[in-house]
Amino acid sequence: MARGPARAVAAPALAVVGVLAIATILLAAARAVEILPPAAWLAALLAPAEADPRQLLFHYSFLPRIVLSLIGGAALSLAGAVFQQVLRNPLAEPATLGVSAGAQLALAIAMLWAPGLLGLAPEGIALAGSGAAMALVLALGIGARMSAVSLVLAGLMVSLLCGAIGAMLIVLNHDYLASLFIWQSGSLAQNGWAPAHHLLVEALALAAMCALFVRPLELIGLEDGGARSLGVPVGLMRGAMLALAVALSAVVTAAVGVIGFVGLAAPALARLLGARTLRQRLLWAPALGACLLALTDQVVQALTFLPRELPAGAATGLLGAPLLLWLLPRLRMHAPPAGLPAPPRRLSPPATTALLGCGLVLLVLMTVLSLSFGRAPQGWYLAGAAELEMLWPWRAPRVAAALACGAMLAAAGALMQRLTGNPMASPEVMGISAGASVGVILLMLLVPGFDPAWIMAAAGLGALATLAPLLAVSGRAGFSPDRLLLAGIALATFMSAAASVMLGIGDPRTASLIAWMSGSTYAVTEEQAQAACAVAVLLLAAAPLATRWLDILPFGPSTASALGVHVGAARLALLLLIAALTATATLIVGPLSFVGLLAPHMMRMAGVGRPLPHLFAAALAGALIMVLADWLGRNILFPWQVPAGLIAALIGAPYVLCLMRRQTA
Amino acid sequence: MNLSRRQWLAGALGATIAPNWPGHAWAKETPARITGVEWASAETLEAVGVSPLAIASPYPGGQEDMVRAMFPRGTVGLGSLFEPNLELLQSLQPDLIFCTYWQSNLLPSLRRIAPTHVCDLRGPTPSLLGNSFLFLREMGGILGRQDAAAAYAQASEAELDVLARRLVPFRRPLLIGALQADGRHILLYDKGSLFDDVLGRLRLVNAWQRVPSASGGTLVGIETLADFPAADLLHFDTGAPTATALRLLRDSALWAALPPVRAGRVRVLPYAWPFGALPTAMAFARSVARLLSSAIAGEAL
Repeated sequence: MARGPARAVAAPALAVVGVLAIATILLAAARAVEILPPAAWLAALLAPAEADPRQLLFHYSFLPRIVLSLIGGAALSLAGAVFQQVLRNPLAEPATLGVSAGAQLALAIAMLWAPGLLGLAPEGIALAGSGAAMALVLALGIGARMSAVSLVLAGLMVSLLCGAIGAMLIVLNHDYLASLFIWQSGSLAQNGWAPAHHLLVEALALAAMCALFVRPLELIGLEDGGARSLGVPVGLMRGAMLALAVALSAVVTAAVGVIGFVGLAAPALARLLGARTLRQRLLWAPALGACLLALTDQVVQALTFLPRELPAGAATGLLGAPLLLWLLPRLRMHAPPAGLPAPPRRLSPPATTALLGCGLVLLVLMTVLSLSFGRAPQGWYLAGAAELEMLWPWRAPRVAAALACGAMLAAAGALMQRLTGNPMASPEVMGISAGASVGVILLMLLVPGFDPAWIMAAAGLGALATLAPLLAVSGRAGFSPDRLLLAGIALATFMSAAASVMLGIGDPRTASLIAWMSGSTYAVTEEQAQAACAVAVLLLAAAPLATRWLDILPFGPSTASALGVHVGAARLALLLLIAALTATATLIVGPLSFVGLLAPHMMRMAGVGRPLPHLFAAALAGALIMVLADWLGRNILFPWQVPAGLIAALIGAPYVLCLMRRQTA
Repeated sequence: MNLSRRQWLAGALGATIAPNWPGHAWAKETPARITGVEWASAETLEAVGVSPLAIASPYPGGQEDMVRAMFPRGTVGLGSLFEPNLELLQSLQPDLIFCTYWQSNLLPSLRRIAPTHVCDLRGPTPSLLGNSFLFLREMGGILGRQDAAAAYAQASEAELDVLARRLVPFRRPLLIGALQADGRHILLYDKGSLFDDVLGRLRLVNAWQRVPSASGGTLVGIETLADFPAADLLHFDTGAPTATALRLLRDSALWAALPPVRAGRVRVLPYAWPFGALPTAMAFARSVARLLSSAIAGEAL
């Protein structure tokens, strides 16, 4: 490589690494002095005295933790850099591709049903889980010739599916609650050298393999045609490099749990500091990542005023989000994500109307069924008139709320996907639902005797607190889709990290929140159901007013302004509509995180293309899915209740994955 | 609108289904129908001699069998403690429902089914154990079982005194906790928990004196145990998580070198639900006394 660019990146990058490293060393030294006087450090490092707990602590807890944070940070950043290079998408990292979720799910299942296996080979189990997740993602991508968009979309689906199954396990096994949340939050606490040793060996081996493949990796960054003409077997190479990156993140997850954002932040920071070529990024991203994670872990340990230690994984989420928001305006994305994948067929207007009509009939049938058919201790039964009157106050609010909120979220998702031109867009991505949930959690933890009516206010405040920075950050760039998505992801991660930290405390009051956050319709009151239905009807009636914008905006900002649409104002109005739909639905039934992604996608695959029919079809589909999910949730495990959102995710995700496979085959 | 819907449904479905409805079968039989929608009240009901009609259980896993063994076979399960099945509850037509303070979001629904009494062990006194005694008497008053309640309370007080006297030779501080399944953390119970109150009543010292948390337990890393070289560790057997944790800790050099572990002062307690009432406290006291008595006897030799 030429001298110029290399020197141009070395100076600022070195400076930043140096600053981070010095900060880390200072904090670590401060903590080390608390444990042992400096004179004893060398002795404790080499041969700790068995009888002195201080030396044991230094040798078996303090030191391995630092080493693990360095290696883990470097490995995750390397994996992130490889993912971003292969997929040509700056948003790609182990967390967004479903890899961490797959590993975590496998570990959780092993802990519940094969604890012996877990003690023997945790890395193997994590590798199996993330391998399965990545294989699923790849299987979907092979049909689409490994295009960047379809891979990330599939990764998101798989991640949501794993998250849903994991959440189901948590809901059904409350005594494992605290442990599962530790893993979700990525605590780096250690009590031996074994995990650090294993991780070091595995990470070095995988990094060496990455180094071998640098050349082809560089070429993959070109267009597919260019790379292929230069002799690189593009599909094979992509698969192999992805497998490598997956293995890297799996071994880190097995050692310490899920630590997100490092794989996203470190390569982004490297690029920001001027690392333009792949080699520079592969060198500097791990260095930055190691320092970032080590510093985060030291900071977290220094916060002794907190009642319990904040896990590093939660801290990376909490710290990484503002960092990303700060980076956002400065980030140049060379390849914007491709538009919505083309549907396989288009329905003619009469066919579309017929589809909508059928959908409506189906919805009515499903609603009636849901209200009357159910389970009792003696078995299944269909309720008669008198019984229905007794059951009405219990079932009607839940069914009505499921219907209304499913419709609202699906409509919001359809609008978002059309607004951003990005198939990954959903209300959850905007972070509003997560913000609302944080508001509710804070209310429950901080206010001792609150009136249940305050929950709505708290959720509303939380949603607004998320919407404001979202609008502020993306507004400066004229609400461009890329900025919006990135800002939304940053905020969603921040709120999810905050939520998981607060829920990990183990307070029984928050345990009931977990079901709400998984989309449970259990606690819906009659007033809330009526409000939800009213708002749904109102907002959905307002949606057709935006038909012209929805038709014109996807053509791009220049075409849209040429056609007389004020792009900024149109985007703002649509954003507020989306926010209102999302916030109302979240206030009633918690941050359902799947219907808004699933229903519009299903309808697009079914061939409903034009904006307004698509909107209504998505709303119908969303309502149908939620009513069905609510019914299943109430009856499968009677008398136990499974949250409707979880069921929707568990039914829906495999269905969408099948659809994607069939579409691209 | 309403009428036509009901007519339609009645015409279509009513005849075949009405006899199957659970409500019919149960309505006339038992006199006093009390349900405890959570654990503390359910076990206190059992203590005053009134078997609850239905209970909601903390866990669906293996723990449920152990705790359900406390109640007679006919007791109906309502599902999760956090989301008890309200339809089922209504079909049982209870006369009185007991719930707890952290189920406050369920209150409107529960009140619709039957009069509901909220059990809050956080007051009136600062001691959870003391409040569980008060709650026992209060329940006796509500149900007209003052004698049974008084008898149970007196027997419990007497037993606690006996256990305290038996444990006088035991001088070391204690740590009460639960190992977490990742093998790296332990949940230690502090001043805000029922277990700490029981220890105090038995004149034992809880070595974990951090700021009390709302839930009574604090999650810390295993290495924190190195700060308590003189303490004994008693940890709960939570089933699979504890087994997993012990298996993982077997390979940990730090665990093996911790002073309590090296001196063999780590013992396993049978499981106890941290948010229980007097019967849980008594069972916990008995387990602690049993373990420590054998320790005392062992050291005397």
